[in-house]
Order: sequence, then C-alpha cells, then structure tokens
Amino acid sequence: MQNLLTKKRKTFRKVVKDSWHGWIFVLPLVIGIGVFTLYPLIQSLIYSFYRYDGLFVNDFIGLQNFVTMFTTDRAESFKVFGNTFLYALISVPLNLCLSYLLAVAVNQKIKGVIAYRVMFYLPVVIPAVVSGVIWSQLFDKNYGLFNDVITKFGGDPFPFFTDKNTAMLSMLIMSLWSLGSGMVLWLSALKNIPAGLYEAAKIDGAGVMTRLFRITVPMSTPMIFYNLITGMIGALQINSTMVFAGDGGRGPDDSLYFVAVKIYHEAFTNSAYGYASAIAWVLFLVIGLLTFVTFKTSKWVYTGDE
Amino acid sequence: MTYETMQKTLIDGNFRKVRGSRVGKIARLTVIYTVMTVFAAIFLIPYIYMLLRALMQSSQVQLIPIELWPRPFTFEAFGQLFGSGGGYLDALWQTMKIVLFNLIAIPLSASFVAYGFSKTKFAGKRVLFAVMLGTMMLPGAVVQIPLYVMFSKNGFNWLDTVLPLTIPNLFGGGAIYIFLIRQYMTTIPYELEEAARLDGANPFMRYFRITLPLCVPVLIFIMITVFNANWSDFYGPLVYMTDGTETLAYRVFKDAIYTYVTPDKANLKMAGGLFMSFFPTLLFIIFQKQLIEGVSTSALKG
Amino acid sequence: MKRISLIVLSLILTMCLFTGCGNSDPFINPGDDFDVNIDMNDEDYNQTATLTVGITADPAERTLIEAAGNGFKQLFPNVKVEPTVISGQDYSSAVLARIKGGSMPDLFYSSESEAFRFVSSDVFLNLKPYINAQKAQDPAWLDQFVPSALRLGQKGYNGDQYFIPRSSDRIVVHLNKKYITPALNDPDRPEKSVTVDTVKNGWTWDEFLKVCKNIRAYYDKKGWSVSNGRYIVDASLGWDPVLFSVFKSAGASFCDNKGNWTLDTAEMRAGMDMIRELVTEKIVAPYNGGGANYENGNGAMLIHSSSAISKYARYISNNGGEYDVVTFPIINGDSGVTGYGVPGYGIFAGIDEKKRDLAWQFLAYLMSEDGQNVLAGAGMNTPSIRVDLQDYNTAKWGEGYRQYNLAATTYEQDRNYSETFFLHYPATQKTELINAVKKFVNNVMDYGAGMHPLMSNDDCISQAVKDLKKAAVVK
Repeated sequence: MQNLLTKKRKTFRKVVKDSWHGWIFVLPLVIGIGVFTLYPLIQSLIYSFYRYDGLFVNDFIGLQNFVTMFTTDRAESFKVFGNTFLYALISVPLNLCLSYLLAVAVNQKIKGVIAYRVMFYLPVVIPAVVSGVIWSQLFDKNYGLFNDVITKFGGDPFPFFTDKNTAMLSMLIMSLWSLGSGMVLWLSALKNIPAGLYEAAKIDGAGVMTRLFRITVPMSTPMIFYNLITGMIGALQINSTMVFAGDGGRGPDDSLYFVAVKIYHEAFTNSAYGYASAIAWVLFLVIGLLTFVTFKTSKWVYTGDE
Repeated sequence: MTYETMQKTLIDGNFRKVRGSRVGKIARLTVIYTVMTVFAAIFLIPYIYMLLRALMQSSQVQLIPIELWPRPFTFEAFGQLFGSGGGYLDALWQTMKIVLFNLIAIPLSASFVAYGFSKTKFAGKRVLFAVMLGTMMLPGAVVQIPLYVMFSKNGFNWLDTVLPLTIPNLFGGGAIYIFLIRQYMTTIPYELEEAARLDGANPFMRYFRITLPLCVPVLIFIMITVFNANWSDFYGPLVYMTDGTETLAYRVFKDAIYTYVTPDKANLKMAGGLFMSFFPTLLFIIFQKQLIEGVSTSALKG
Repeated sequence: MKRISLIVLSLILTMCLFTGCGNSDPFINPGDDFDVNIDMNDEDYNQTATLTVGITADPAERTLIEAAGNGFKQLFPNVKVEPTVISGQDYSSAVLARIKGGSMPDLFYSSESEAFRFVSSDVFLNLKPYINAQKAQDPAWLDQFVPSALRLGQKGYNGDQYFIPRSSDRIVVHLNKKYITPALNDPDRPEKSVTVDTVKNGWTWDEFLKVCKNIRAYYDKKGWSVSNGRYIVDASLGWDPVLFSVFKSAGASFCDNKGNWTLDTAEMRAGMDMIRELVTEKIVAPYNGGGANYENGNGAMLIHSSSAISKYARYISNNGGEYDVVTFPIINGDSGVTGYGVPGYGIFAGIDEKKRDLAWQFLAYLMSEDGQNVLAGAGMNTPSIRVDLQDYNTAKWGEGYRQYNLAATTYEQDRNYSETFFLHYPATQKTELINAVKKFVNNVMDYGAGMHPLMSNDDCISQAVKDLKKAAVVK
C-alpha cells in the first residue's frame, strides 16, 4: 500500500517535471479557451433557459425559449433556418462546380495566366461589407448598372434584392463573385494530381468526361471534403446580409433573413438574450450534427492509402 | 474549335501538347484569351463601378439614366469622408489600433502556443489539441452574447473600447493560426534545436531564437490574414462599439445602411468602400503568391 | 486524462451554475422614492459640473441642446451641458446598448413613442418626486403646461411623469406653391370645384385629392410624367404617425383593448382604398417606385411633422420654390385626427445621485419660459408646451416663420392623436409591431407594371395579421 502510493506520487511528479515546459507554452491557450470559449459556451446554454434582457429582467423560464421557437415564433424561426439551409445547399455545390471551370481555365501554361488568377481572386480579398455595398448599388432599381443595361435593351427593371422572389437568386449571383476562393483550392488540388495518371488514361482511350470523373474528382476529394465542411459551416453563419438585404438584414418579406442575423436582432435589437442564446444553441447543434454526419460518411474521401 | 477539343485543351492543362497547325494554335489562343478576358472583365466590373462612382460628384451619381464616366473626376467624396466632420479619420485610427495590436499579438501568441504543441511533450497534449480544433467548429453566435455581457458594464466594462477585439487575442490568437504554425513547425528538423539545447538553451530561448525566426514565411501569411480579417470585420465592432468609437468597417456598414441612404450620397458610400478595399487589394497584389499558396495549404493540410 | 478533463468541465459547470444568470444589475433604479431638493442655494448655483445629454443624430437637436446649455449657464455659470449623439438603426436599442456599455449620458432624448420602451425597461428616472416637490412649492405649477402635451410624457403608465416634452409636434402638409398656385389657377384643370383658396387649414381629404388631381394634370401638361419620376406628394405613409392618422380617421384600428387583431373590417378596407387611390391616381409613388422628391424641389407637397418647417422652408426657397404649410386634411369629418407627438428629455435612472437634482434643474429650465424661448431662438419653431406661449404671433417660436401659415400647427388641437394600441403588448415588441404595420402599408402600396396591385386587400390584411402575431411574440 505504502509502496503503491509513493509510486503514484513519483509518477505524478515525473509527469509534472516532464510536462511543465509544454504546459507553460499552452497556458495562454488554456486560459483563452476557458475564459473566452468554454465559459461563454456554458453561460449561453444557461441563458437559454432564462428570459434575460441584460438589464432588470432575469427570470428562469425552463424550456420556454425552445418551445417559443417551435410554436409562437415558428413562422420566423423556420423561415430563417429554411433560408440558411437553402442558401448553404445551393451555394456550396454551385461554387464548387463553377470554380472548377475557372480553375481549369487558369491552370493552363500560357502567358499572363497569373494576371488572370489575380483578377479572379481579387473579389475574395475585398471586405464583405464593401462587396455588400457594391452589389446593393449594382442591383439598385434606379441607379444600378444591371437595371440600366436591362432597360436599355427594353426590358423591365429586375427587382433583385427588393422582391421576395428574386432576393435569394440575387444573393446567389452575388456569391459567384467570390468564386476565386474555390478556384485556388481546385488549383492546388489539380497540382497534386500526378500528370502520369492522365497520360495513362489517354493511352487507354479515356474521354474528357471519363478523365474528369475517374481521375480529377476522386483525386480531389480531400479538397472537396474540406470545402464542403468549411463552406457549410460558413454558410450557416452568414451575416453579411445585414449590409445589403435591407430591412435590417431581413430582405423583403424575410426572404434573406438568416439565422445569424436573427440571433443578432433578438439579442441586440430586442434585448432577448435568452431567446437569442437558445437559437444559437440550436444552430450549434445543427452544425455539430452536420459535421459529424459528414465525417462519418466520408468513406469517399481519397486518403492516399489505396 | 469544337467544344470537345477546347475541353481537352483545358483539362490537359497544357496547351502546347495539342497537335494542330500553327494557325489553329493562334486561333485557339485567341479564343482562350478572349474568353478569359471577358470573364476577368465581369469579375472586375463591380470594382470598376465602385471606383468610377467614388470619383463622381454627388450631383452626378443621382442622375437617371446613370452615367459611368466621372465628369469631372473629383476627390470630393474622399474630402467629405476624411475632412473634419466626416469622422473617417477617427474611425481609421480606431481600426489601426486594433489591426496593429493584433498584427503583433496574434503571430506571437499563436506561435508560442504552437511551439508547445510541436516541440514539447506534455501530459494532455492530444486532448488539448483536439479541444482546440473543436473550437474552430463553434459558431461565433453561441459565445457572443455571454461575451457581450462579460465585456459590458456588469463585467470588465470594456464596451466602446478596442479591448474586446484585442485582448482575447493574447491567448493563442485563434485555433486556425495555431494550427497552421504548428503544421509548419513540425517540418523544421529537430537537429537545429538539438545543438542549442546542448548549449544549455531552455525551450523558451529555443522558441524565440531558433524556431520563431524560421517560421517567418508562415508568419507573413498569417499577418496578412490577420490584417485582412481585422481590417474588414464589421460585426465585432457592431456588437461592442457605439458612436464615436466605431471602426472603419463598422462606419462603412453604418453609412451604407442608415446614414447615406439617399441616392445623392452614393459617391460617399463608394468612396468609403474603395478606401476599405485599397489596402487588402494592395497586400494581395504584392503577396499574391504567398497568399494563394497559404490558402490552399491551410485547406489541404486541414 | 479523461478524468482530468471531466473534473475541469464539471468545475466550470458548477461555477457557471452558481453564477447562473445572476449578473448584477448594471445600475440601481431608485423608483419613485428618493430625496429631492429643488431649492437651489448660492452654493448649488455655483457648483461645477458637467451634464451629459444623449441626443439623436439629427444636427438640429444638437443645436437646440447647445443653445439650452448656454442658456442654462445664466443660472448655473459653472455647469457645462454636453450633447452626446446616440445613433443606431433603432434609437431605443442604441440607448439600451449604451446603458449596458456604461456610457449612458445623464439625460437623454425620447419621444412619446420611444418612451414606451424606456419606461418598461426601467431606465427612466421617475420624475414624480420632483413634480410633487414643485407642486408643494406652487400648487399651480403643473397648470403652466398644455395638459395634452405633458400627458404624453406619461404614456399610459401609472400616471407618473417619466420625461418632459420640450415642445409639441403634429403632422402637417408642407407645400411648394410654385406648383400648386399655377395648377389651381389653370382654367382647364379637371377639378374645377377647387381653387387656390381650398388649400387652407381644415381642408378635407376630398379637397386634398381634388387639388392633387389638378396638380397631376398640370404636371402632365408640363411633360413631367410618372415615367420620369415626377409624383405630386411625398405622403410618408410608411411613417407611423401618418399611417395611424389615416387609419384612425377612417375608423379602423389594428387591435381592440383586449389585444385581438381587428384589421379585417370595412373601415380598414376604406383606409386601404384611400391609400390605393393616391397611388393609382399617380399622386403618390408606389412602394419601391421612388417619390415626389419634395425635398429637392420637385414635389408639390410633403406630409411630415411640423418640426421640419424651418428645414423645408429653407430647402424649398433655396430650390427656387415657394414654401408654405397647411393642416393635415380632415378625413371623415369629426372623426378625423392628426398625428401628434412630443419630443423631450428624461433623466437616466442610473444617474449619479449627486447630479440628479441638477438634471432636474435642467429639465425645469427647458420647460421654463426662458428655456422655451432659447430653444425657439435655436430653431424650435413648433408649439411650446407652455400655456402662455401658444400664440405663434407673440411667442418666440413663431419668429421668422410668421409669413407662413403657422396656424396649421395649432389649428383644432382636439384632433391631435397619438397611437397607443401597442400598450397591450410588451414594449420590447413595439419596434417589430410597428415594422409589421409599416410593411402592411408597403404591401398596400406595392404596385407592379401597368399599375397593377401586387396584393389584394384581403391578402394584405391576412399577411399583416400574420406579421403582427409574429411580432407580438414575447421572447
């Protein structure tokens, strides 16, 4: 018994002796995660059971916030989650496919191709708030470039962000402006594919499409996988609509109202901290679930072992 | 040139290999350049539209039908924004405080932590690393409200200052940055440190004298990313700051949606936007190679 | 390892559970039970202090407070009054954010409509102790003020006063006679029953419509058609005081005193048809269809608040127009109302106790004859809240604007009306409820190509009920 205890203490001492350097290095991170991530994370879970306005209202209401989300506020909460999913489901694959074409175009060994890459990537480095401003101006009914061209050709002005039926479409068009981000990912994926594979395939008489779907796509699955995960997590948290959608970031008839914007409004316009936290937690769980499912079903990702 | 051959040249990624006459080659090149130029033009039009309208007078931007060419070219809008009463100088200073602090704090603290992960052994390393990666998945919205309350009068009383957007970065600076530097550090051979270790240098000296200088390439990429992220962030300031303390991005946001709503102010909006995009564009053009490489490595190694 | 992380996690959990949601209050609201001193002695008058005053982003408001601050120096030579702009998409949210951020000024602007939220969030100091002290000193103190104005500082609560109106304000029609006079003198005008003399205080909606039709005809004759963006009136129908005036006058209401939504009525449809007629007659631009651009001298009329008289008088004459003003047209005879409101100032409940009495002195100064005159001198040209300063011919607030029909601001004051139906719902929802109503009006005014209404009256109503229900949800 005595022996065992000393032995245990010794190992503990040894652990400390071996580890203390490392611990000091990661200490800032531990404090950071504890204070600025873990504590707020749990705190927000607690808020979600309260009606709390940051001032004097501070009542425990159990699951009421979650009930509200699915009952009295259902129309709006379903709408924002619907919008968010719709946008994520369309924009992520759309960008993936179209940026492939762009990448192929600038993957040629011709003169000046770098300049084209720069031009295609440029919109990605432009701050989101600025691109929001630019596109709301381009799409403006009276002063916008697009409607100017449309009316010059005798068409009726297109409502873009000002009509509930065209707002989402317009936002998708706008998102194409940053195809450059997908382009560079494809470029590096293409670079990693051995040229010999194509040579061999050509000798076997494989056509363009065969080579695309038998070589390029399978070899690029790690990139596609990464793009799917980050694209999805990013799209589910979009708040840039606050800049261009109008109506405080809701768009006409809530057609561009996204989850992150609703959380912002509930918290900072309506001072409903509890309710906002409840929505945030639902969003968190949804993202967690989606990531989990994507990882679990990631057998199609080429890992290089085959 | 048929669609099939065009696809073929595109997919092969090597134009010269396609057999054909010299004339055909020139024709194909012309087609490719034309197509790419048209696309490049489409990508640049919004940018140029902003540029031109930023250089117009207020009276010109409210004309219907719209005009594209400024007559005369004027910096009137910039004068209004940055002149006295425009408030953009104050906002710029506010942004610079955040950006400059983070430009130093994030690479330092992230590389410090990354050194711990890549060059030292300690109990709990794998768990901590996994937790850190997990925080990348966490939506900001979940922690945002408690953080706001924490920074508000009830807590640290940091609202309306740059502290909420700077001080937290002293603690690692963000999982993605730590991760990137750690990946880079693991490629640095241990032998370099071994010599210093035998000379009696402790891990902290080795981090600072040997490993950190070797990480400069990845640190440059991180600094550019940090610059862009903090320069462009309108949401953080929107939550933590009010009038008089707003940053440039928040100011541009505010002007876009509720100060400059009338059509005669469109040149001001565009001028603000143009100024906002100037530095990110410049940095990108200078460092485009490192940036594009950095983005794709961080993607593929992640 | 697992055990350690579990221990850490449970430690954090317990820590959080103990703190719970129990963040301390950011300030203490003393309620209506605190000691007040309204008798200023020499020492009080000579004190050195700074009073900060939160104002909206409107530069005119800053001018007023700066002028009042200078005037206040006559009494308190060492007290500095410092205006601080509070702006945001939503003024009341911006105020609450400042309180949470700890940068709240000592006093702050509120109108009767925003006060609603401030009172229910407990951020206004209850002024009852001060008013009682003033009444103890002079039983007739309250009688100096126009009761209907002062009452809006109470906004339907327990009768306690929470903020002090600095002036009163009502909806008027701003005119640009440059277009109206020739249009109504034209012998070929379509509506011959109306003349230049029709445009006078107390005119009816019917007369207003006929005048507008004549102006339309005049514009068309000049070649100023709708297709080049020329409309007659900027009616501000999406602005709550105007839209509530129209519907209230038409006999319609949005909810009854139990909080049930009552949009589906013949009166509501009548109100909607009135609005639609303005659009189909091409008097008012449809939603999303631009406007008459009165501000830049292109429109003939603008329906807006009387506080804008000085601004538009300047704008219109600078644009070569001829400015005047007239009452909001009477809809439905005796039941017609005119939107009315009061801008004013209240004291932040978390104010430093030492400055509380001084802050009241500043409010009392704003209400005094001197204060009112100083404000008038700084551009406040709307009716004073003081009974003795109601006549614009003698009171200072009429100065410089007497060549205009200022009687429009005081004509038939019993028509003054301020919407209160949101009292049935928590104040936090007020912004969203008003937005739902605005959206309703926008839908009514939403017309597609060929003047084709995009939504029928029934659709507008059912959509609005849906939106209002949604907006009323307490979260």
